[in-house]
Amino acid sequence: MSLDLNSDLFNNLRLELRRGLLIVAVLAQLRHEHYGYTLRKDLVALGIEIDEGTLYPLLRRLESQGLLESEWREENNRKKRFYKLSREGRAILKQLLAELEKINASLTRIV
Amino acid sequence: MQLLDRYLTAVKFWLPQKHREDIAAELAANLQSEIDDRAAELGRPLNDDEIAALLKQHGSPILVASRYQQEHRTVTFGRQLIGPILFPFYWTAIKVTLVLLLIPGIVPAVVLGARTHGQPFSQFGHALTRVAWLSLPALLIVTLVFAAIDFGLRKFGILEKWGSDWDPRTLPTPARQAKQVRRSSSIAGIIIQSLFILWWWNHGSIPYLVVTNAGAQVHFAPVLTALYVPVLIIAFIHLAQHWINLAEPDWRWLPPAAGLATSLLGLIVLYPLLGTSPLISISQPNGLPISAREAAQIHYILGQCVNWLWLGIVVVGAIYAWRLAWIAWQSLPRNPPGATKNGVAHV
Repeated sequence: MSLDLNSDLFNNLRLELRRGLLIVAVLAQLRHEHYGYTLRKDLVALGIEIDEGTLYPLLRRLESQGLLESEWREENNRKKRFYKLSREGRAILKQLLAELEKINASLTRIV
Repeated sequence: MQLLDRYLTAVKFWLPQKHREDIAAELAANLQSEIDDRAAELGRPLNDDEIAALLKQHGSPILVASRYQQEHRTVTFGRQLIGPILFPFYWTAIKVTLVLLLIPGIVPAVVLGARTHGQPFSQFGHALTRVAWLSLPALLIVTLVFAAIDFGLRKFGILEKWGSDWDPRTLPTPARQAKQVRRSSSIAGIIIQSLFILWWWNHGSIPYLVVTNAGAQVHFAPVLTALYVPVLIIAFIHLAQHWINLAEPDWRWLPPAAGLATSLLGLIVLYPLLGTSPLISISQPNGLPISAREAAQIHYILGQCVNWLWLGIVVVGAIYAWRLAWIAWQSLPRNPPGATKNGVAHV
């Protein structure tokens, strides 16, 4: 198997692994209100690399699923859309974190 | 901020109509914050090159817009056939194809059924069954075409190449983008022309569901076979024009130019048919015979259609010529107001 194929395979697996975890990170970070740009900045500062092209549409998708709620508000003379966890989002996040902890504990035992 | 406006206008062009303004406003707020943030870090406003680099990093308008498509729907059969980027176009194509098959397939059958036998409901049922049978291959062809395009895009990394070669500074101004050829118009044109080409390719008889409920089939008379290749050429010219305009919506001179060229070709081809008779022949393979009066009526109607078609093409050709001339006139370079030949403004 060539090096390129290995690296493609690794990237695909890495993307799959990150996809679900990114959602958990976004939901957890939105326990406090943020708008898109500051949310991304905070996530990057906390070591979660996520590009705008992924994050901004993800926020809208999570909102359409009822996990987030949003409102347009003015800040520094500019209108921005602020997101925060909805009540349903809080409940789901709690379940997801418990699930993550279980998987992590199992993985630690396996590895 | 002209560059940001141009970028947002270009993204909006590809966004779903329902959420277009909302998504664009949110994107504008986020990008503006990023620009302000970087300007604060540098202690000066960003120049055009720096804003262009930021926008390029954000992604080409079509890629950015594709990420906002609802639900990331795909067509999968074992493996993914049509991905989320093409899916909205595919879904539009499917809906337009169904409408194009349903309206001409059912309405005339019901109207003729009501007029001749007073059985519009049974005619509706028969027509619906026939349309369902016709729809299956049509929808399959549309799906295969989109799957082939999707495969090509992925195989040759066309979107990635497009994204890396793309330069935000080449985006037209919002005013100019507002005059671009509409995406919906290009997609509708592609579907209509493709279906027409498929039908014309096998044009031995006019589809019987369109014309008669009595089992009779209406065929083109031999004189009309001369139209076969020219009409195919005209349809392919329009099909190519719609594909090109989908990729290059800024080429708004192309639709009137193609329209003018095909109108002239249409006039040349149709001229010998004016006053020619008969243009059709009627056969009754297994149904009730069509009366001589009804046959004469169809002959008369078709003859009139050719006359009106010729006149219509003259009018349409003139409109295309006018539009082309108008676009050319608007594109002429002009001196700024108040400037003279020597570049000295009058005071």
